[in-house]
Amino acid sequence: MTMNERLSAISNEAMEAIAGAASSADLDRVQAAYLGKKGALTAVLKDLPGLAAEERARVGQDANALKGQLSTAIDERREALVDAASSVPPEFDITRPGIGMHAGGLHPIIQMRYDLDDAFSTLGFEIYDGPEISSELYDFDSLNFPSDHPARDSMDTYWLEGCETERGARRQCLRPHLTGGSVRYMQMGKPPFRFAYPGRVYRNETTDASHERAFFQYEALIVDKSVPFSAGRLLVNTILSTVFGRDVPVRMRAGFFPFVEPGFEIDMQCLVCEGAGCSVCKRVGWLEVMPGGPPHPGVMRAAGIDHTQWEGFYINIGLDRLTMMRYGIGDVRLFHSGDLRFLEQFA
Amino acid sequence: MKVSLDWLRDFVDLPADVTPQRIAERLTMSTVEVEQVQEIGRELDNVVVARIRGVEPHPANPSIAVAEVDHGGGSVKVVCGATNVAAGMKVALAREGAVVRNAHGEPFTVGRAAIRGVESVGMLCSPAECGLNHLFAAGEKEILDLSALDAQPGTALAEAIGYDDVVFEIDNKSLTNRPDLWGHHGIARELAAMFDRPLKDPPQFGALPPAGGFDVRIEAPELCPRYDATHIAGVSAVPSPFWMQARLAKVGQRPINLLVDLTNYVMFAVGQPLHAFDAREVPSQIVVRRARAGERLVLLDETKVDLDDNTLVIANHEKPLALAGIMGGDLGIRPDTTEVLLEVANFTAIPVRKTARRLGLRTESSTRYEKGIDFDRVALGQQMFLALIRDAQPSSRVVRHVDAVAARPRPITVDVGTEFLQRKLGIALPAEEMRALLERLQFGCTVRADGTLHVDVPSWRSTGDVSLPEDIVEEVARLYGYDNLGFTPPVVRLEKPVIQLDRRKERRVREYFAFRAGMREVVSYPWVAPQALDAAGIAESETIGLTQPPMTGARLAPSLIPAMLTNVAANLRHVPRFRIFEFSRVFQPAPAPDDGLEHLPRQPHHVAGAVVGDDATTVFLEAKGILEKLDRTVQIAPLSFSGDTAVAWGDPRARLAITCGGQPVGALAVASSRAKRKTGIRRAEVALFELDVDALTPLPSRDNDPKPLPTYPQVEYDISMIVAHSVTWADAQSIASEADAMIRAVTFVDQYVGPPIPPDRKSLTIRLHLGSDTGTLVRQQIDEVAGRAVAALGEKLGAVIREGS
Repeated sequence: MTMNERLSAISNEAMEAIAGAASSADLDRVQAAYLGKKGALTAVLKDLPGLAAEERARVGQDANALKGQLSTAIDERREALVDAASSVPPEFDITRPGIGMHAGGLHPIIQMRYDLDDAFSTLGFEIYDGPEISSELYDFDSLNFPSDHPARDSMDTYWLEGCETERGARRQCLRPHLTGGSVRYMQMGKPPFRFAYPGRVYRNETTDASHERAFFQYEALIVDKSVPFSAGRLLVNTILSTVFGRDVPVRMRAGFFPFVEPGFEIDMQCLVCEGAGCSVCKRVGWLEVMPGGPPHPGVMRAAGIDHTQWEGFYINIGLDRLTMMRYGIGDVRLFHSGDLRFLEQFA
Repeated sequence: MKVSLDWLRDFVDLPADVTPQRIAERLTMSTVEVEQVQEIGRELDNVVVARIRGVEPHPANPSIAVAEVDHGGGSVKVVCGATNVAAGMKVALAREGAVVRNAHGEPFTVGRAAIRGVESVGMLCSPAECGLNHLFAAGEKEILDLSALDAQPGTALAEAIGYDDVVFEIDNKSLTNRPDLWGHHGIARELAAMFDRPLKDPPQFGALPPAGGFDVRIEAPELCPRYDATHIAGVSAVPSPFWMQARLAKVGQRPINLLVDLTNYVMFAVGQPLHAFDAREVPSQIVVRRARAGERLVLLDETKVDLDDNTLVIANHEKPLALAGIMGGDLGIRPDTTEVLLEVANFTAIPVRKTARRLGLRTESSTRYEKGIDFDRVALGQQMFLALIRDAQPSSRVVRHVDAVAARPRPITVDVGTEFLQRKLGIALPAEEMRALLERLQFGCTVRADGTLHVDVPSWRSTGDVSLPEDIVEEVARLYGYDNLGFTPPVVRLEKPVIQLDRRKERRVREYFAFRAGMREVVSYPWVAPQALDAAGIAESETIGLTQPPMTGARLAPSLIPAMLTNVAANLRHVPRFRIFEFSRVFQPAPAPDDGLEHLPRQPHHVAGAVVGDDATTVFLEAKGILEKLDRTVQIAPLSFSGDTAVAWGDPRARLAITCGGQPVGALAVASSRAKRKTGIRRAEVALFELDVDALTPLPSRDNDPKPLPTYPQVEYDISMIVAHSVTWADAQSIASEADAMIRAVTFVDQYVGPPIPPDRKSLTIRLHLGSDTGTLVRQQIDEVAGRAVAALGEKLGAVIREGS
């Protein structure tokens, strides 16, 4: 074997061994085998003195070049092995759950309320928050309820102790709806108005899976120089598309409520059957979801607004039922249960 | 309210292609909510009229019969246990596939069955089995006897009795404001308008004789504007014609006898209640008056009522005979009645409702009167009754008649501008079209030159229903069709942004606790049980009561803590460790002095939270850590912990008052042992806090105070010292901070008790953060500065240094 052939063989073997090294220790062995005191390349160098001057110079040059080449290759391989190394120990289990943080969250109805607040805010609405203990003056008298309307009875409304003989402003109750508060809001300012009014209301009811004594409503009202009935759809669509994440077909039909004139019952298409009729919508294809309409002239007067100059549209929807529909919740009482097994399912 | 389509067709010819579903839809969209469309004939499918040809006793049981029954297309044998089975009788045969009802009213399908060895093909039905017990009377073990009907065997039973009909069930709530719709004629008027068909009037009788000495005296005109009395002779209380009985039964009214049925029939036709007295009870005089204290009346249904002067009665010359507009007395139509005095009256709505409610008597009559029936309907009802009785009993004759009017209502007219109507509708509907729509509803309407619509409101819409321009808009819009109005985007002026600091603060507070502090929001009732109030140490005098609380003794709470304790206890049954918060208004008795219009109670927004864990120190410090970051994150005026507060629900030591701008705003404490015992919280430690959110001042915009980054690196230097238990971190921090200007901050590292520290001592480790504005600190400087801190701590706190670094 010529010296050239020896160098060529060393180069091939050593480069192969470097490429195949799986650890820093492997590389140490490769280094010793070729570049060490007893290494193959070192042996070539030791043999140089026995060569003719001309060949010695040439082989010496080649051997030194190979030595540099192998050193570089070993260094590069060593760095590559370090870069590719994992930081975790061998028992590391990729399938373990992450370490938990305190996962808090808002109540599902409050989440819905804030989503609606955001939607109405984009339309330039204010968010109002009125007192929860109110009076007959605002919650009935101002809303055009006849003086003997059954809702004024203690059968329906939670009246406060101590005002049994009072009337009007001095007869106080837990608000049975939000609409009286809307009159308060309007009394505080001058039209035009655009505001949403979320809040909890109270009715003296027997509770069951679909009836609660305390529940949430969401009210929205617009008062401006010209508000045709057909503009009211904006309020309805804002609520339904926010909650359900898409446009929901809506119909407005005749309904009677003392505080609106004319009154509307607003139905949304049943989302289960898409209008075809099913057990959820009692085969009608539509679900009654909210009342609405222009505030009655009597209500406008109570709010201090000249009803010949200003027009409005109002809607009020029950958030508990809407949230139940959105998530398929079967029992309204869960919302006030405080039960974390229920609440923690909402994000 | 039930409405029969067949009956509606008496008053309006609807186009042939209009289905019952279409009628229901149009009524629902424009007038009243139809809850159900019931094809009542379908419920009698496969039930036919049949004739019994012969009857033989059952071979195995002679007490039951095997009847051979002709059903028009042949005959079948049917086993029947009824007591009235007889040859020649016409019966209702339920053939195979018919759905009838069992003794419990549950439906079942008729098939072939062998009854003790004899095959029975179908079933002979009792009235109850066909669902017709309103219409037909029968003894307990009797089948329906149809012998009186003309129908031939094989005729469908539904057709034979006029049940090939559709009944609309209308939601009564949607009718409350529409007294005109409480009868078929009123509903037909709406349909006539919707489908643009003529409305047919109820039958008329004609002219009536004079009073002939009979006297009607209205002593309470405020309660009775009109009382029409007609004395009719030559009548008898025979059964009504079958068609009339069938119609009454279809709308849920049980037929009684012709004289009573006619009053009901006319009421269901035109919505006007009527009452028939036996004329012997009222020989000379009707007095419409308030009852006198002490008077009593036994009603038709035998209940005895004590009367007072709030109660309007119909009396003869000496005593009350009926509760006006509600119910007659027990001396009504009797089997031997031959002459009646027919009352058709107009009573004021609200007193009828009040009396009916006071006495707990709601009748078809009071339900209609309390909606406000118009003055003119008296004549409509009276004429229809007389026309019908003339047909049913040709021997009848009207002998005297008095129409007493105490107060005649003023006609209502409304002027409304075309432009106003068009603006509300959102479309430019021409005035003439609006006039045409109103006329279809029988409103009088003329369009003036200036575009004003001058509208005469018909009497039946004049009792409070229609009186304003807005009401006219409604009439036009609902008949035009709300869904045909489309969508008109509202046009608004943009003037300024909506900035609501309080709303923003409230939302940030909620989101801070939920998303930063990892707490779950709960919502609880504003009323709490007395036990929960007691657990929180809240006296009843601090609370507000309800006249009818949802549970005995429950009060509106001035704090969220009672509900929070209850919530913690309830959740501990399922979840061992958790963090919850609640944000809500609380209720506190109104402060003196009594001023303002309403003088409402205080109802501030509070937020309360609970951190539930194993160790009291840990949960307290976790809750404290949460509150420490609240002010900066929510951007409110700074909060501080200001020493002790004697909250009733708090631990005697682990408790802190919280202030904002010097004002107390709440408290943080470990729940006291008593509070835990009273609410049943065991094997857990609870840190509670409550803040008055209204007392937290929101900053007008974000407020941050960034400092320049240090020019030279800072150095940390930890000091561990052994001190008495009474030495606090706050003392150590303040002493160390003041020891040298180069000490830029002092932070807490650790506190430790246990070996090798003596039992009456603790080890406290603090960290000095050292820095200079003039250069990098060298070792010698660091040791000097730290040494000053160590010396000061040793001197002032008796601290013994364990080690320094």
